[in-house]
Amino acid sequence: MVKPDRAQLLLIASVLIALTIVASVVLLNAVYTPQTLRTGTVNTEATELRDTQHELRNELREYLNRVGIQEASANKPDPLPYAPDGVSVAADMRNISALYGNLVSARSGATLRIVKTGETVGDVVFQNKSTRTLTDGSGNSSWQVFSGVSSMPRVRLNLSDISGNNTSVVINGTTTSEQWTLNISEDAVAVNGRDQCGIATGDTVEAVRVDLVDGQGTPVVELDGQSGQEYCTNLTMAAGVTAPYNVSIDGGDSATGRYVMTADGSALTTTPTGDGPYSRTDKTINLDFRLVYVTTDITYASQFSLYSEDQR
Amino acid sequence: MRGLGIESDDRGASIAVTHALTLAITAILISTLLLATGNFLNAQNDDVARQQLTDIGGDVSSLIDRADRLNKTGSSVNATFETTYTNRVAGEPYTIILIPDNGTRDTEATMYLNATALDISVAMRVSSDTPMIESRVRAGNPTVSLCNAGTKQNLTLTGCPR
Repeated sequence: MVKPDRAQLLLIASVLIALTIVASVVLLNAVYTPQTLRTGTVNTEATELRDTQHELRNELREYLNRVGIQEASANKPDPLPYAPDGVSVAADMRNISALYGNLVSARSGATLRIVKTGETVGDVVFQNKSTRTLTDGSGNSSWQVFSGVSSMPRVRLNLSDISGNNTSVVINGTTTSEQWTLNISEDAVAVNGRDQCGIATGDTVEAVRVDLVDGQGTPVVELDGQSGQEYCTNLTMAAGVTAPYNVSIDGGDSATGRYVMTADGSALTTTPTGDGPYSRTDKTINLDFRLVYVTTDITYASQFSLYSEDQR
Repeated sequence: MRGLGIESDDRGASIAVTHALTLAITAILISTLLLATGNFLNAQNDDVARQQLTDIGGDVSSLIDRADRLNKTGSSVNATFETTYTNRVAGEPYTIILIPDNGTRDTEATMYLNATALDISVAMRVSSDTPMIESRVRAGNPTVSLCNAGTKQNLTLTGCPR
């Protein structure tokens, strides 16, 4: 005798088989998925390398600043940092390199080696009294600071007051058409073709700070308790001017404050006096390093200068 | 008299008819499913391979960008990124080729990832400040490198010449 529910059971069984096949297809599809790429490590290490180099460069600059301050402090009561004597730096550089290498190794497991490979010897000119105008030793308000400069790693102005419109740092190139000017003004009048740093008419400049490290910098203007439009822009020092170039200050008697400039292979045109500006010759104004950084995924080696116009 | 429920309904419940219907329906179902899923799996295979090549290409492109940025961190820079990707996509080997626009060295290039056995090719544009040179690497572990060659800096996928 035929059981009446047998046909239904067979049909249900065949449907179950079909569902099993469909399920297996779905599972098989899941197997065909892209493998996870192991790239996070490389990207992290590359980021860490850049951070480390940035940190190291700042550390070395800070060290040079500290040494420069100490050296200047021995002679002057109100010092500005400037490049220190190269001989006294060499041993400390080796110690810093070793210490920093150990620090990086402990932090990230990377191997870091940094070696000082060279130095640039040049001249330093600075005026370190905040109450003095930017004149030369003979009282001239427009004067040439350096001539025949092939690279200029640093210009720092820290002016406490501006009383006119025409205090400028001028860099001239080898041709008469090549000129870069940083114009610092109390009333920001239009000066064609010049980088400007000033405020709107009627406001008073409290202070201006310009630190052109690596050939670039951002001027900072402080106003005398008033609101006013700032005209300072990010500066690229000597933009469009090819070396060798001359460095001058024009209209320095309109500005009061401190400054320091360093340049290589230059001819100083300042005459030191009791009030400044002061000059130092044959000083280490820049240092060159070779950096090697190795991790499991990255091998990196480069040369770099502490201060350089192309930020290298 | 027949009852109203399915238990009492014995119409079409002969052994021969039941077997014939069951086998026929099962055969049709299975063959339909196999045909459909076979094609579907093949398409899925290609999609996965293409996706995987795109992922690898995107990652290599990102490493080229990182190497390019490292070029600005000093002079005479040599930097090498060791990568570890899968040797095969969807079970087949593949090739990564970097071809600069302007012949053998340019800042604009096209990167091709070819899985020849699958007849799949993925192309993506790569742009950098540092010139890239023509390079070709067979699957797995391209070495994205920034190499100093005298006064020039080059980006390549095959490591720096020793």
